[in-house]
Amino acid sequence: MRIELKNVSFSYNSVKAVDKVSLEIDSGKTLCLVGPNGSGKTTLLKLVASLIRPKEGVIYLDGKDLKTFDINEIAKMLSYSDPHLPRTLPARVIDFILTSRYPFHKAFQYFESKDDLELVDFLSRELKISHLLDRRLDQLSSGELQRVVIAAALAKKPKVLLLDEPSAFLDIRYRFEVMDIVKKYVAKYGATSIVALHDINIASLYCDTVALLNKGKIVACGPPSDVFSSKVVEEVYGVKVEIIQVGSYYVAFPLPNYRDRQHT
Amino acid sequence: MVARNVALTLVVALMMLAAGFGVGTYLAGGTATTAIITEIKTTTVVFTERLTELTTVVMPEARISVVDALGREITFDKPPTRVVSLAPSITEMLFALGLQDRVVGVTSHCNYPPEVQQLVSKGEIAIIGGFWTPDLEKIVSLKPDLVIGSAGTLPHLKLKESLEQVGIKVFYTRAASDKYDVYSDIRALAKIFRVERVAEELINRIEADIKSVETSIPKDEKPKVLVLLGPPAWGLYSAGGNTFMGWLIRTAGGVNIADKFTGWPVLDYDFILLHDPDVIIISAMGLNYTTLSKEIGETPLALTKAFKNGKVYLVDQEANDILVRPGPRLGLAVRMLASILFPDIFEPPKTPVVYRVGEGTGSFSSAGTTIRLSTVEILPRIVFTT
Amino acid sequence: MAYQIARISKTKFLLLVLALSSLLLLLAVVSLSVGSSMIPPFQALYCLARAECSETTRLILGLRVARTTASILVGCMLAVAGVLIQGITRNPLADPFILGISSTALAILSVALLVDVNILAQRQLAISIALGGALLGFFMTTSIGVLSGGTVLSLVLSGIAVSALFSGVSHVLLYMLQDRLRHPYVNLLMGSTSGTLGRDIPYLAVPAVLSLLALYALGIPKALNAYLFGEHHASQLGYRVKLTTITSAFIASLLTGASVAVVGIVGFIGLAGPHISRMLYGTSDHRVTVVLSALSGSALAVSADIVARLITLFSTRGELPLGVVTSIIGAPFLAYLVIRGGRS
Repeated sequence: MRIELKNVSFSYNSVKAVDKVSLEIDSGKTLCLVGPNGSGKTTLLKLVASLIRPKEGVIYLDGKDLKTFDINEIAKMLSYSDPHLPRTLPARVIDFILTSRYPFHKAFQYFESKDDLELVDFLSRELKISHLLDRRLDQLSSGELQRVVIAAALAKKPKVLLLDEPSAFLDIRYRFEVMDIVKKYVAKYGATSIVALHDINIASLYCDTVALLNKGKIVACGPPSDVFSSKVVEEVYGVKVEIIQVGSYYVAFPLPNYRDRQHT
Repeated sequence: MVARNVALTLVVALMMLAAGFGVGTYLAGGTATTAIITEIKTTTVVFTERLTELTTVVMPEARISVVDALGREITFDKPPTRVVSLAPSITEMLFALGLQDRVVGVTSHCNYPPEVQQLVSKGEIAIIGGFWTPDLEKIVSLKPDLVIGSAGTLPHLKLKESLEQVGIKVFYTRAASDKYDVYSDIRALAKIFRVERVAEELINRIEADIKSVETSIPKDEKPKVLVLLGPPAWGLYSAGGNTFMGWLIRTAGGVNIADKFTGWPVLDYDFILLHDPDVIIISAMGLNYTTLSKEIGETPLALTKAFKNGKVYLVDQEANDILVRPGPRLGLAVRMLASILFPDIFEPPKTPVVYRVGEGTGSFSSAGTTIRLSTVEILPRIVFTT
Repeated sequence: MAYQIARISKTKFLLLVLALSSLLLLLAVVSLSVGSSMIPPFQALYCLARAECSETTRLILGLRVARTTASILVGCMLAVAGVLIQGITRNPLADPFILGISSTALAILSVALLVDVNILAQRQLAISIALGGALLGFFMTTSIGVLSGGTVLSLVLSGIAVSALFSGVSHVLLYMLQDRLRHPYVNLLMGSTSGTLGRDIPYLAVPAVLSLLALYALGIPKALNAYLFGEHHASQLGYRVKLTTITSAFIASLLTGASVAVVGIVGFIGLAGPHISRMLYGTSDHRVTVVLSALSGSALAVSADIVARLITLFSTRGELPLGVVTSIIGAPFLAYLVIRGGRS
């Protein structure tokens, strides 16, 4: 599904969080949103997820204005994963993942179908969380929880996958595995994903396009190697980024400024 | 693991114990009643030169000390001259003792003797609030040297500290549960004001009144009585055996079906139907008797012998005051109750206002069957009027 | 794997429903036979089924059927209200009285009594007025809550405000009323089923049935399941979060308001019912916990009612308020579950 943002703006009270952002993402592609804390990554994701409405501008899904979609249509089409799960009341992993199937239930259907359960089984094998299914959410480690959140996002089989910091809290191996699964899923189902990332290393490895945000504005957009090699990254983050070629990959490595100064 | 199990068992056991303790205390009848010791202090009498005068002399210099219902000893150098009464029964006692000129404040409920209301309207006595809602500032502004409250009323007890702090003496009468409590209150008050002889005369009068009723009560016939405080919808509050009301019923020759309880128990219809009272007396508290009669006719009370025989009485206004106030009209209360229980033997006293619910009217349905008692229109008949 | 877990859960649910309903049935039969006059359970059932017994027994059983039904309904209603309130606040400590319902019911009832004391003698009217007061409380709480942003936090805060305001107001009013009635007011909304008659049952049964039907017809248990994992999670699943919370709060208010109006304030069930159900089932799937809470709340209320009556038989006082007994019975059991839950 092709996503297009045209001059989208949003502000919380008087603070501009997203300022005239225009973006285009093609079907089967992954866009990474990078940028410092508070640069508007999460707000942008929420705008696309239609959790908040843009104050200005339009978001198109396959050329159709997001506003014209029915709330249930959006629910089936689009997955947004919020990494901040409230866990005050006890609930199991399986209960959480199964809630993602609710939009597909028939009217007055109260319990999960066999297909729902099979899908959960498949996803939990892929994300290696089968052994966690009957554990309670508040007993999981943050890494385990992160994989559960992604499983819940994929359980909708969404056309648009919006992930907020999917690699946070994961150890090195799972960081790659999770991103592999996302990429595989996007390619297989012709879905589109927008991923907010802090780890520019991962971003440079997995994204088709990188959009660098700063203070709600897009300051650079393009293939990872282009964006990360530009001067803008240094200005935005205040750190230096080296692009290293490892095999066929171009990997972006952030380096602290003082180290640079020591060398010169 | 074992340790945790033990701890778990202990905690749960403790909680059960606490719960059990609560219930146990409740079963035992709640707070222990404070022992009341009446101490008789020998007063030092100052002999004057002429012995003959001694009999009529009022001894102003003598220190008088009395013990109140809380067991506190209160000493008076001279009889108080400005008195505030916090309860209608206390006001009645003070007036019956001829102390009306000492009273400066009463409650809005104090309506007897009629003289009280006259003095209030003349502005000689001030209203210090309601029986449950005495106004501390109002009391203090009257500059009394004695405030008399009831030990059975929480708002009165709460005033103690504040009044004593500003140097006002407080005396508490008992939460009376029989005539002897009333007598000792009357005697204690009389002692404070040195009107002992008046008190003895008053007590003798009351006692004679009660005696005359007691001797005429049939010994073989003891009607079962249910007392309800307020309408059934308010909750089935009754009067236990240790209350003044309970004593009145006993003395007037009835058997209180809630006699085994203490205080003001909540009953259920189950209990009432089991004991099937012959007479039901409802303290009506200014309610419309037609509405109340209708309500009663729609509850299981309609299935009792009392209702079927037309012996449901709504006691209102002055009659209600007489029944609930442990004061000098005690004898009248016994007589009135006896006239309700044995209308053939006792003439109704000239007091308002007791209504009788129309004989056996109303309907009540239970377990699918509707029991129609009678189709007579509900027409409460005023039994006693002034 | 997922299939097995789902099957185990389903079996567990059915077994718990079966166990709790049998317990409830047993308690109901005990409740029919316990009272001032003891009727052996079999005789009681036989009497109800065949009507071959004395008129008095039948009458007393009729009263007890009404009383037992009332306590079952009140327990069920308060526990379900508790599940809903805990669900929308995601707070296991919330109880159905958090929205200020009981204080407005009391305030409106006392205003009515000040206008005409005779309302006290017209139970049906008094019940309707109290229910009206409870719903008024809900509308006040929600409108303040919606004006201040419509979040659950603002709803709860406005509930606290309404509750504080009206308990103050109602105390002032009752103070005035007490002066007029010459009886202490503490009794007015103290929870007890002792005066409940068959004619009062519709005031409980109709709101209970309507609410439960509405609850499942509107799919609220599923919406609350989604809401359990955050507002964003629920709204990206297509649920209108504010609508869900307000509908749930309304249903909870109706349930609580009706039970307050008929039997008075009964504490603890609304808090303990949901906890017991979650701990028995192990997770807070609202499709299940609503049902289990209804059953465990009813069982708790009926056993409290039985104990209250038993205590009357052996004490020198009258009946204890139901809320006191529910705490005495329920608290040790809840403590046991909490400790056991903490260990696993």
